[in-house]
Amino acid sequence: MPVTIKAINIHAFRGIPDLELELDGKSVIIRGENGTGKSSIVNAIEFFFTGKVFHLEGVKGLSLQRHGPHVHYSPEDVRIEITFNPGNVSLTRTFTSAPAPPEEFKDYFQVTQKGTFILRRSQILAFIMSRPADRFRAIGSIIGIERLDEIELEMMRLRDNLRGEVESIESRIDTLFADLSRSLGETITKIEEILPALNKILREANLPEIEAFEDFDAVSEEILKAIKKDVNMEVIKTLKDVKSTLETLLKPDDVVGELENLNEKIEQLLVEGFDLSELSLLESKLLEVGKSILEKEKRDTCPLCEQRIDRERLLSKLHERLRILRSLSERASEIREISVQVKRKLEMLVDELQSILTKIDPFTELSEEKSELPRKVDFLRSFMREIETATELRNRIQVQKFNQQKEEINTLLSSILTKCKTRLEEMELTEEERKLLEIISLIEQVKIKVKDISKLSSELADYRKFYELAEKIYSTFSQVKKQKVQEIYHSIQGDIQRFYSLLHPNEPHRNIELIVALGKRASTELKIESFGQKEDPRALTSEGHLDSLGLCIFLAFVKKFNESCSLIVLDDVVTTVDARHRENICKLLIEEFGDKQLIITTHDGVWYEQLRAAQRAYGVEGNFKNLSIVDWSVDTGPIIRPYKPRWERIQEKIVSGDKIGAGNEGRQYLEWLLERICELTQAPVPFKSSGRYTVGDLYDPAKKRVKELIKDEQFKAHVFERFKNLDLMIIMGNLLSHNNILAENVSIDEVESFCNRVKELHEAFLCPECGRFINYYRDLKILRCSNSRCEKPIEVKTK
Amino acid sequence: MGIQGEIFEEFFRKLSEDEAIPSSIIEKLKELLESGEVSQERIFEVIKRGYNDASND
Repeated sequence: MPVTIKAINIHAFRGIPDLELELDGKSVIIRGENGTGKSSIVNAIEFFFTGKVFHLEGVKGLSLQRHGPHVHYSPEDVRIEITFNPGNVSLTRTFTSAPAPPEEFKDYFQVTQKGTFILRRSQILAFIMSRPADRFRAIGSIIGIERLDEIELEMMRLRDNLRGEVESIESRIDTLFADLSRSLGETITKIEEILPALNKILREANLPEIEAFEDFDAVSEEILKAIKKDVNMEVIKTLKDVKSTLETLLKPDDVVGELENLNEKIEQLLVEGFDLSELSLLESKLLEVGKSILEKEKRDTCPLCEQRIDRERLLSKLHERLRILRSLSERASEIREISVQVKRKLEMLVDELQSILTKIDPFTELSEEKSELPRKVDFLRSFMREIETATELRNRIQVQKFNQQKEEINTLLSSILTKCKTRLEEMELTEEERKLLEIISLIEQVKIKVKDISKLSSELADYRKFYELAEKIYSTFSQVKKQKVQEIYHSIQGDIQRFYSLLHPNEPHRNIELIVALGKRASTELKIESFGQKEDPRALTSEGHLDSLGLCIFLAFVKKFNESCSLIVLDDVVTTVDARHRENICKLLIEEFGDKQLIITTHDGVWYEQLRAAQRAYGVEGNFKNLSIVDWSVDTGPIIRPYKPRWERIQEKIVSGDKIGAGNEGRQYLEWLLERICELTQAPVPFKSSGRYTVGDLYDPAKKRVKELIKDEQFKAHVFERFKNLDLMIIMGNLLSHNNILAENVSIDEVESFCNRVKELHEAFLCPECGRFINYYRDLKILRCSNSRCEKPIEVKTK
Repeated sequence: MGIQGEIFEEFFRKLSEDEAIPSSIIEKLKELLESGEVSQERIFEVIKRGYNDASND
């Protein structure tokens, strides 16, 4: 026995304070005007099963926690209880607890908790109008491959990251080879080219060659023996470094000149009393905004205090003030730029002095300089702070003081340089020995780089293999997934086409195809053959056709994948489909999904009536509950009553003085009647791509066609008298449409009279014997009662 | 078997036909996919370990 919903209890959710819906396991059609709580019922069902509400997901500023509860309640009050058959099992969802279905409901809940049993108009667009990737996602959620998508995505990310890693290692190896090429004076691209290049240098220096990389250290030691003195390479290197740094530092620079320039600019601003504070910047912004408002709005009152102002004079003042502020701001910006440059130079000097201090630490002959240098570093640091405060116009820069200290620093550095040179000379290295030392240094460099290249090459080999494996895993998975999804598409294409042909018989759209896009990871293309061309359906079909195609795709997937779940919810999905095609949708739903529990909401009276007529025609009225939302307020929520025939509803509304409600019903009644007359008599009506026809569109074509078609003068006169009665009131048909404020001016008596005349016209087309609507038999050239069992069927001759 | 099971089965069948992919990688990947906690880090771990084991053998 399939699981069905017996009752739904909604408390404190969306537009519903409290509502109990008895379904008794039947399908239900709920009709209600916009804003009367239909979608709140659908949202509550969705929330019960999934814990989410589709249109509150992923939208900035919207959240289920804030917008889920009814406005008079808080999240902890929300409670949706659904009772299921078999077993009369009641389950509850709140914000803190999920329903715990029994084992026998497992398959049903496995489908419903994905939410793929609900179709809203906005979701139809996901099948038709969305990008191929979004369409794939929409379909993927129904066929249950979202997890596979995540796996595929992780596999793809790994493959891409490993490719990135391989490229990064290759680039690091290239850099090392480039360094070696520079050091050895030859282009080196392979590790085998290193020793020949190095040996060439050794040969030119009459030194022993290196046969293998392991011999680097032995050869270096051998060369070192050729140098007579006991050379401490580290000391020589340090002294050389310090010497080189000092020679650079002692080169003349223009820091003093830059400081003087900076000081001059600061002094000018100080004299002018300019304030660089935030307040001044705010003032500038405020003036800009004020000027912009005055220019744009051309107002003569102040936007802040609403006092009258002389706009032109104020604008001229603002221009002048802003000109001054801009000029000052430019000068302040120039000062900041110069100060940043000077500070950067001083910071570099401090860094160099610190480095020299560290390097000369082992040298006892530099003890005096070692004690003096830190004081100079301290001075420079404090001087940089002074520059900073001066930049903020809080003081002037003491350039003289800096100049004096800079000279002392230079004296100190010159002394260190002299002592370093003396020490280096004491080592008395010959030119030949220096060259040998350089070669030893070169061998050392090559040794380190060869080691790095070997290590990286080994890593590269591993990563290339990892990449290769990751690529194989990803591409195999992706290919299998695409192939299987395409197989699914093939397997339901027949159903999509069959459903679509049922809705649109004799129309030139065929061969609907869902195609997994091959070059993309997760993407689905939709094609339909129209007029011999295979195109995206948006290219050649109307909005109504697109919506019905989306519905067919949804239903085809539901048929295949929601087999274990009897529930289908259609929330206002046929708004753009015309009356004739909607009748076919009724047929499709009852013929193909008669075993499902349908919950259909609509604001459309005509569609509601069509669904009821289809129940009667198929003899399945007992499987449906037809409900109407008759009223809604924030305090009561939707007030739902069982279905009543249209004429009964109109009369009830007239009696209660609800002229807007009665008027709307009367207009819809006339629209429905004219559509039927036009369809019956095959009246030519100007085509509308939206498929929605109003009284204004249908009235004249219907009247004209009846006049042309009917031969029987008595019947013609009978019908025409009713048209004539309506002629005087036909304006009401348009007046009583939604949101027409002029409808307020119509009296309840006028509405009643209008509705009566519509009913009279309707009755003219009913068989007097059995009350059935008459039918047109073109070949027989007659209008006749459509009931084959009618004992005295009406028969009217046509031309 | 659902669509997911079918895809897994065909995927592992194709992988095992490829001699360049060590069987230990296929086994560990199966376990990983069944565990439901798939991430690129975990797949990499499976590849690295499987490759190293195969190299040592």
